[in-house]
Amino acid sequence: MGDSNKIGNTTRLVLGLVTGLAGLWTAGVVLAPWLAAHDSVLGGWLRLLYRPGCHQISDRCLDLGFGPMAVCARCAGLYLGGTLALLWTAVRNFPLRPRPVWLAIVAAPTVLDFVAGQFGLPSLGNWTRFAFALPLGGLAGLYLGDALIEIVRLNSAKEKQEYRDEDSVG
Amino acid sequence: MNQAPSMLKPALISGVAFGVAGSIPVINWINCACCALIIGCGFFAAFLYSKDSRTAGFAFRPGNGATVGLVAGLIYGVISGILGGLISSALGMGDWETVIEQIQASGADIDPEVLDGISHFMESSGGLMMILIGLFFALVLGAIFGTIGGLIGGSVFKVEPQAPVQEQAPPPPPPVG
Repeated sequence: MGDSNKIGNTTRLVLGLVTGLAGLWTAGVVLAPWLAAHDSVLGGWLRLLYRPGCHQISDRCLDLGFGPMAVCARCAGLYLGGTLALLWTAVRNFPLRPRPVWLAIVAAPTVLDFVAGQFGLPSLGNWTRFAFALPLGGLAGLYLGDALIEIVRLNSAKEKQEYRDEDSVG
Repeated sequence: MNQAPSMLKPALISGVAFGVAGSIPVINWINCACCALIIGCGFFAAFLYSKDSRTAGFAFRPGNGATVGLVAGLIYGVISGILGGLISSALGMGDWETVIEQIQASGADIDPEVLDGISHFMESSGGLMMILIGLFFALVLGAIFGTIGGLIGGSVFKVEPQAPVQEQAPPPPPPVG
């Protein structure tokens, strides 16, 4: 009972840390334009941080009233979905691993919209793109949470086993 | 006893395939969606490794997925960094002036004299510095997002370890008489 509690606390700690980092990353998306709107130099640098992972075309970014976000609507949906799913897993401290077919179902609208955009076909609106990306990010977050929990549990079990082996030899 | 499958083969296949795709100018736009190409590289490597593990009768866990994803991401970084840099140089794309324009467009406040100095140094290095900088960023991003893709793949394609087959004792001989 004590061992399982200890493992449970470790998984919660690791998930909490990862969720915190993901939350900070997602918050930065909104923070960058807010800082820029308040004449802070940090806003520009923060925006630059997100540059390698997003095209940052202003027309395709959501605007909450103080300028376009640091990433496009699709990336914002992916980040927020992933963070919420990690948070949910951390709060429950129990993994949820949907069947892989859901990944294909959830990814389809985003992939189709991306392909349509590449062929110059009319693309979806920003909020629609955000809404389509949200569940895809969420699913990725659930799988990440499951993977992290399993890695922590395996390592904790291995530690316990090694401890027992040493004990029996000693 | 079967031997555990090699991690290098799936990592190489995925890293090279995605690395080549990532260095082709139009295809590498896929990376604009949260580095999807790099995440896909780690994910595909995990898929290939899980298949090998299943065939060999070994367990495939998220930790394996993360490791194979990391290696695939690093291979992706090397291939796309070098090949992408060469293609960009050949096509006259991705020069330093474009990078400066992007930095200025992002609103980052940099002293113009510093920018001039860096520009002068970059131009004198003849494109080699741009390739090295590109390689550095490709390696860092490849390691981070390849591992994330591998972790997701490790959860999606998880293979549980097979229970050891217990040898059954032969049935007792029938009573004589």
